[in-house]
Amino acid sequence: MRTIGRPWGPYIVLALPTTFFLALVAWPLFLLLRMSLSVPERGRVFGVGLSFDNYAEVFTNPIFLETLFVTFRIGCWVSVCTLLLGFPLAIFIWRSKTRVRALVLFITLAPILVSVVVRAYGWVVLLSNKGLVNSFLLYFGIIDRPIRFIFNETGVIIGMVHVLLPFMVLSILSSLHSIDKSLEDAATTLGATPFRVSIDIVLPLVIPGVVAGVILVFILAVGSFITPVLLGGQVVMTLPILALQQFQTTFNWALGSAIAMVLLAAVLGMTLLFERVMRKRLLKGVGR
Amino acid sequence: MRYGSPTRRSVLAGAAAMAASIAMPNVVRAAPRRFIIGTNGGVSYEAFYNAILRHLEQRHNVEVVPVFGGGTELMNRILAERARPTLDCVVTFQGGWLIGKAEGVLEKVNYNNIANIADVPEFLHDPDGYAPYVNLGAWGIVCDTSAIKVPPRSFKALWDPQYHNKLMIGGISHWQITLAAMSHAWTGDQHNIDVAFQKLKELAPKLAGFYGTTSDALTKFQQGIASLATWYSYTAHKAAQEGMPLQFIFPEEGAFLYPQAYHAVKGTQNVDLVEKMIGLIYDPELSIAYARSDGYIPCSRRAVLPDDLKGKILSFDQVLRSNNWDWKFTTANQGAWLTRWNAEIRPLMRG
Repeated sequence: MRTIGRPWGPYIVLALPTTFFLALVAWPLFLLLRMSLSVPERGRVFGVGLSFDNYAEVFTNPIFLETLFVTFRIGCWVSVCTLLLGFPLAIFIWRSKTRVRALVLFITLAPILVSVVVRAYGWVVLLSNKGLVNSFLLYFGIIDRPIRFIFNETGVIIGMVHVLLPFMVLSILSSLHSIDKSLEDAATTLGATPFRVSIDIVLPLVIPGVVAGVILVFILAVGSFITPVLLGGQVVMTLPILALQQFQTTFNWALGSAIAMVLLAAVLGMTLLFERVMRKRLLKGVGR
Repeated sequence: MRYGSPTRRSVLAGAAAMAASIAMPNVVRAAPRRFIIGTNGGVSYEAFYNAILRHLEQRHNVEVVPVFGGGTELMNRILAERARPTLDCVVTFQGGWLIGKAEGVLEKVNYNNIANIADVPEFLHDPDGYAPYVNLGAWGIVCDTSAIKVPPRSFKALWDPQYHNKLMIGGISHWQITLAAMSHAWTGDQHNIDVAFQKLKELAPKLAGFYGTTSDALTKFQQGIASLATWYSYTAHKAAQEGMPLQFIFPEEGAFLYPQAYHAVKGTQNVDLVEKMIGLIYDPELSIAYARSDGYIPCSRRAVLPDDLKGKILSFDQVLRSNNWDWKFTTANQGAWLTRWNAEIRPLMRG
């Protein structure tokens, strides 16, 4: 009888990404955690000892808490706006059978092909007080003074929605493509209207893609740095900017690390909570 | 035993082998030394390379390998790499090199090995024996002359209502030097930070905005978002070279000197190349070429600005009338100032 050896193949295949993860993600994260638990020493970069002072500073300083709130508020707005724009776009791309489909898909994904910095400056040119949009509105007498679109939260949200829309569309689109068309045909054969088919068949099946898209966009939005700096005009303060200020201008790596760890923990917590709530709803839907 | 008679081919082959064996040490010796330098990128590097580094490569058989970044970014890098440094030399600003010295990541240089150092005033030498100051710039007022007809002549004049909604100041960085400079402008002493906070609270709602990086400030000038800034002489010079109508104004209270230094990184085998490079920066002829392209004030007493650069580059007399930031004081207190800045000044900006 021929003996079959232990299947080492999968382990070998997994070894490379695992090593990569441990060396380049887990180890730096551990260093960041260790640094955040050190005592900052005046005039020196690396802290010493073991202390929770940096976390106490983060949670007792109203600036940090306000910034955490602003960061999450921006993340939520960006997620909602990308969902509202991305869902119909994804449905259109999925349903469309003409050449327009390729064009719409290209336009949707085009932002990925352009640098974030270039995109941000593009928005500055379009939306600043002397930008194209305000000039147009002023010229036609629609407004009598420029609207301040950028260098505030609105500007940051506009820029981020543009940057992150492709991630939402792709995520929803991948769910839509996995839907078996025969399910729709069966429902139609049984007398369901197109609206009922969309609500009872398509929507429940596309929810996992929506959840994945919302989580992905939210994580990318709260961790974003360049767009908030350039379109927020340094008036809008988010946690990544606050962390960078500690690293780059005051050389306080310990406090900067604590801010980064708080951001990481908060994002993980919110993501898990959202995913759990959505999964429960989904299971309830399936049960129904 | 029979030996064949020598052929033309064997004679030529032998001659080639002998020539190769004689020449090999010279070939080996001719391999250029790699000199890895952390420095500012973009047009700054282009100007630096053409004015200085090209000569270093040619005169000393060196291959310069640039690693681009800002001063604090590069300082953070050498701090992170302290166990195994990958850079030979790094550009830093004054606040950064205090940190570098305290952390022991910088190497001292031998001033006797730096060419032209005798022509460099004593106050540009590092008191602890580290690299002397180069890339001398000044921080003052930069004005868009196409939009501002009567430029402010002092820092205090920036509070004048005619400049409301026209001025931008450093936001994400540069806030600490702004505080110290405004404290000096209003009290004659840069250590009265409470006064600076008070005055900036008055000014903040009337600002056109904050700027972050150099490109951010340039974009805001180009877009007409701001027409005045508290900024650097050399960045204004570079922008003017590109055709922007920007002019540096030396304030009545005196500008603030913003020198940079190219420091040898602790553990490098190329300290001598750092010394040679600094010597080239002090070369009167090269420093004029560097001033023309990058706007830095020549540090050598023997460097005489040609007529076309007078008025565009600060004179040595203006340098002597300028102020120095107290970086020890700033470094020690900037953590607390940052919290106050984010709490007291930033929210007053129009969002």
